[in-house]
Amino acid sequence: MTIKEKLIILSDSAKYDASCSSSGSNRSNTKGGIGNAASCGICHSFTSDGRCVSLLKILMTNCCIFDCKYCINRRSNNITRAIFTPEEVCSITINFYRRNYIEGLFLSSGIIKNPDYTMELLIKTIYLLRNKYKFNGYIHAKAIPGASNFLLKKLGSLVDRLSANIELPSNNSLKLLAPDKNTNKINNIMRTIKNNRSRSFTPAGQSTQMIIGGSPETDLDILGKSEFLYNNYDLKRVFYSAYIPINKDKLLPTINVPPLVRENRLYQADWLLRFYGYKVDNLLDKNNPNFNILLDPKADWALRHMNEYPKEINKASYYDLLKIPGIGPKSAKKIISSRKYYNLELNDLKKMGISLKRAKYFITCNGKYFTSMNIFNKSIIQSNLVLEDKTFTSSGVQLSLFNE
Amino acid sequence: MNSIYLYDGDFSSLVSLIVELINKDIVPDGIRVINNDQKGLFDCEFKLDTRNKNKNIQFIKSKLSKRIIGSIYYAFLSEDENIGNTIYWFIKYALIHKDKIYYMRRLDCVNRVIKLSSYVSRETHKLKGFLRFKQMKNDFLYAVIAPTNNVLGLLGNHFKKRLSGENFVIYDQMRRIYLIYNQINIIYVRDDDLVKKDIIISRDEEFVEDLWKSFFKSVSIDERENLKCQMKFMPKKYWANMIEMEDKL
Repeated sequence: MTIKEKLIILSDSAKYDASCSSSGSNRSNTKGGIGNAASCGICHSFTSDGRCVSLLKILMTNCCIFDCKYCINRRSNNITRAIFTPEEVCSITINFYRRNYIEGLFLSSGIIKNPDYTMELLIKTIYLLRNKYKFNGYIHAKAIPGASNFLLKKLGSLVDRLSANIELPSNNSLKLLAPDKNTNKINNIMRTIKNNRSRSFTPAGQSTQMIIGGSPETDLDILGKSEFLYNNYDLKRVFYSAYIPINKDKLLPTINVPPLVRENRLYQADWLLRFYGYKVDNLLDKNNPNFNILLDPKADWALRHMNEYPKEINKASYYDLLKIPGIGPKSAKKIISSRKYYNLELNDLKKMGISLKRAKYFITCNGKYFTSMNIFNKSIIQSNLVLEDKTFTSSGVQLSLFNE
Repeated sequence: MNSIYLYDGDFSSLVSLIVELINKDIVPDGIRVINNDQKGLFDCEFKLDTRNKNKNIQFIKSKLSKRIIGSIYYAFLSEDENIGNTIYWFIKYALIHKDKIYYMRRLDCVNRVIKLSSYVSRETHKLKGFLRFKQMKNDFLYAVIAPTNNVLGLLGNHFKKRLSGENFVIYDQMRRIYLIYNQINIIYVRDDDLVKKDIIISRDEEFVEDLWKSFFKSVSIDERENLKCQMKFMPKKYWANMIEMEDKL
């Protein structure tokens, strides 16, 4: 098999992993070495699905002893299998990196023979890349569930980010759809990473991924799981991956289109948890366990709490500013610093580069509303916001949901 | 008559000129680069004495923070046609208000400097990712860019750290300038002054480019196709110099 054929097979099987970020590490170059990591991360290209390409995202092998129902590489699938040698992975990485195609390597793998064997293969490859090729760029590796802690620590000391995928939002679904995986093993990996993290051990931290819409959990279950992971394992990110029907199985849902809007809403809500001071039970509850597909979670929350608005730009606290749809941490900080020097008018906000498209309905500047207060009415604002929502207008796939 | 003050196009000359003007209490109608055929009918052009350049630069460095000097420099790289005047007013206010100036966006000069500098920094960041090197026959790397802003130097510094053990050349098509790094330092050569006989692509290059294109194609998920989103993050103006995109133009 040529190296090109291997690359096509082993990147095709790796593409369903959503993470491609290269941020959070500032590893510097060494004498005679190649590469460094930019702490802000750099996107090198964007695929036709609009996702960033930052890392050479490949599997070591797509051979796998596991039989996870949703996975393209499951043992029971009849597909072409390939395996890279460590030298091949290094050679492609260096050749791509020198030409500035990539920011580094994202190495994952199917489980070949057993977890320890697979993990040793990853370690061997990355050790070679770091030491023989003196590569100082970004490396994200997947930890293999079930491998020994000794190997996990060894791998962690070589990479910038390590991750283990939680795969499904509940233990029951995991048992059903990924019978060879086990929640305890995944938790153990996360705990070990958290307890060992330092400048020389996964400086960019860890992340994980959940499949959305492959199992019956509600958004409340999913986001609750995320909140738990953020609080207990210091995760940098939880990635959500809309279920794409690759395999046919009676245990899997039958859908034609991946639930991309739902995925998008979960990402928006995830942002609210991490940077806006929201808690899951502010956003969802048992009577209302799923997000409104038509509106982003923050706008939806605002419309359900109209009595808290409009907020006065010149007086509202930082967290109150963050509750205004269209205003994020950056804008809120700008507003707080600027209003020390003069009372802000609507025009001042525009000059700061703050988009008022959505914010204008929820604020006053020096007591003035942007237009007649008659507009300040839930149903009027709601219909305007739904029309402006980008999740629907930016994607052809999304619109076809309604045409079917 | 409009009083127009001229400088040689260099950032330190501009800053030095502005310090002279502020010291002499002169409010210019325009500040421009020498030799650009923009002279209007009622313009009267002046050149100022440049003997105090070092002193003037030291003065600015002692009075203004690194952040402010950085913003001015980035805004300067936008090559905006009124940049001289904008920076004149920005420095004048910055000498009074120091870092508080960032919150005074009611002043047009402040608003412009912040906007232009962030545009320059955004484009630099994009090109740190989108720039593509090709391996040349004589074992050096070669890239062509066509940026809106003059970001060549900023990119050079980035790649100097990252690829310190390589020889590389970056050509700015818009300004017709080559940046050359020889594992020690960076030099600039104008297009007309360079003999281009060494710019020959290595024979193995096609193999690596083909690998990259295959990878790029195979990591896209067809079920999620969203070309608008792709274009939003990676504007078409950069495609011509990106090997995975050039055939899609």
